[in-house]
Amino acid sequence: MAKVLLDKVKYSWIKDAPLLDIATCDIQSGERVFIQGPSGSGKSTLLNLLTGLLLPDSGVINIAGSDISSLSAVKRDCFRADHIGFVFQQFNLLPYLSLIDNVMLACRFSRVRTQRALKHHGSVRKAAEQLLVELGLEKQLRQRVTVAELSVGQQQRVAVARALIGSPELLIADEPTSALDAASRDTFTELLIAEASRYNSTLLLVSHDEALGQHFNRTILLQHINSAGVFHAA
Amino acid sequence: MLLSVALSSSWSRRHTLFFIVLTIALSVTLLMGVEKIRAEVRDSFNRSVSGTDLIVGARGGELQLILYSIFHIGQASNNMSWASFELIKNNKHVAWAEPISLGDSHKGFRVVGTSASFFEHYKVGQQTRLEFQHGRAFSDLFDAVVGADVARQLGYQLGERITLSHGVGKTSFSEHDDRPFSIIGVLEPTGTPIDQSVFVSSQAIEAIHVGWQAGSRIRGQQISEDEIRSKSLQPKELTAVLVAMKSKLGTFHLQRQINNYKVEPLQAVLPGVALQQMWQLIRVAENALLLVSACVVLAGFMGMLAVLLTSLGARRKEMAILRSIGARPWHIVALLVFESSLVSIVGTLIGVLMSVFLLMFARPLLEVQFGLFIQSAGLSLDDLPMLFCVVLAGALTGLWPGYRAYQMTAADGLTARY
Repeated sequence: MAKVLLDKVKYSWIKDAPLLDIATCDIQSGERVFIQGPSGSGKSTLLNLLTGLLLPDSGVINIAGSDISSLSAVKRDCFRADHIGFVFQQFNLLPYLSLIDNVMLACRFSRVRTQRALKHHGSVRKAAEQLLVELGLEKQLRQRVTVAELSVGQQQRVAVARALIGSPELLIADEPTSALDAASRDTFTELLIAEASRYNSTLLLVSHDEALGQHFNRTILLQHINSAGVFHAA
Repeated sequence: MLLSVALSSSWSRRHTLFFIVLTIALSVTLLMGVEKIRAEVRDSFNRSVSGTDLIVGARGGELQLILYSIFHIGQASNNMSWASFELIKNNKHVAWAEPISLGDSHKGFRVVGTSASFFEHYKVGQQTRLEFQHGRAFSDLFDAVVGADVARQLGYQLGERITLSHGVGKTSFSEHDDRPFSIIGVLEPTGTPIDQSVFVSSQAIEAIHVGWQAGSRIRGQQISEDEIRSKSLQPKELTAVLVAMKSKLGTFHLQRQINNYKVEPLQAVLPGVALQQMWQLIRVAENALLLVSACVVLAGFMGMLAVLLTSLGARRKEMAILRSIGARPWHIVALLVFESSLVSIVGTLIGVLMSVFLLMFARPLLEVQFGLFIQSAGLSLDDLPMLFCVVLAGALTGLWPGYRAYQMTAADGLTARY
């Protein structure tokens, strides 16, 4: 499990107009944290920083003991592949791949996650199948349905399976319930939390929907930890 | 790893890519077709004369001499004397010398007056001797041997009687219809002007012109065949001489001697040198043809570039997903380059197959209509560098969309939405 630490992290798209200025943010290993913030508050920028796609202007982002802001671009890509699972808001799957191939895709770019899948399940395919079964997609798996034949909720569950295969230390979900109704949203969130626990992953869910907070150990309001002026001025 | 993703991704857009493949295939077909015909024309010319070291004729253009004596294109402006021919033939360095008398035709096909030993000596292609499909070389004064195309196009068989016309046009008003010839032999196809020629003896050329003056029959003069046979038919003039030397060293010596011959203005040309002159002359046209074909291929690639670039917008999420699971920027570039390579390879392969089949089907037509003898419609080793360049250019076409995709993913990060 990963401990996430942000220390004096600053980021600005435009010079002298910082979007993010986080003095400190500490997420313990195994925690289920909900980061809530309205649109434009810098949630997406924060995710890009946490996954190493953006580098902070200053400060340290430490995930599982590694200061990812000090890594080279290639090493950051490798780190992301090895240690972070990511669930998008929607359009999570590659439509031209089967369910199982979509799930296994995450292991194709990471030897570490492949090794873990092999260690625990004997093969990457078996690991993917087990995840899909756990996430209630056994019937779809057996019937070899295509991505296009799945409902949005089912697609999100396949995305969770892909994010969790090879047991990454950190699971990040970016507004994963925005396309779901209230009942499906709660069911999906509970399932996500349960699976993250099962695979010992620290869970970090980002959304504007404050109703999701009830499911998590802790809720962080982005505007509380972000002292940058852009959002406040807006 | 990336390969299977790229293959699946391309397959999912197969309907769009099909038309790009088709465009490239058609342009490669054109390129291959032009290149093949160009090579075959060149090969056909090179094939037409082999084992002949010198061509001798009346002084004029070197190129003109080889064109009329070997390729039957154009006409000689002057003849040379039979005495000069005898002199050349009896030179101690000469292995053989064959006379060529032109000026008459049969239904548009050139008539060549020569000696019976021509069929033993003359070689085409890789030192290949002329072979008879049916019959044998002429022995009688009014025997004729026809080339394979003449026999096929006019449906001639052994024993058939034909008459010759004065002049080389397709239609002639001066027929030697009083002196019919019997077809005694039909030659095997060679893919050279031999196939479109009618061969008779040099004496026969002399014989059909007995009673003729200045290209027309002398009115009121009736000479029977027996009278002709009894006459001395020793030719006084001929159009050209094909010469083979005993040793290559003697070639230049004899060439110099002939070119400096004071008694009669003659010239001797080396066939290879004359052909080189011809290639230099037509290289501009060849290059222009190739350039047009290359432009068509380029247009195909521009189409592919446009399709790949316009598809990028719709593929932003695909790139974001790949980046989220650890794909590096070069993976994204490679994905696009692989796709353009795949399209180019498939397009090129289909293009090659189409050109092979088209040439196979068009072969008889090209042979009949244009006298172009396509030896092999298949792919040759010489085509491979050109095809490799086409595939390489196609693959490189993917670099620009790849770079654009990389820029997009760098800007989008994990938050591309559409």
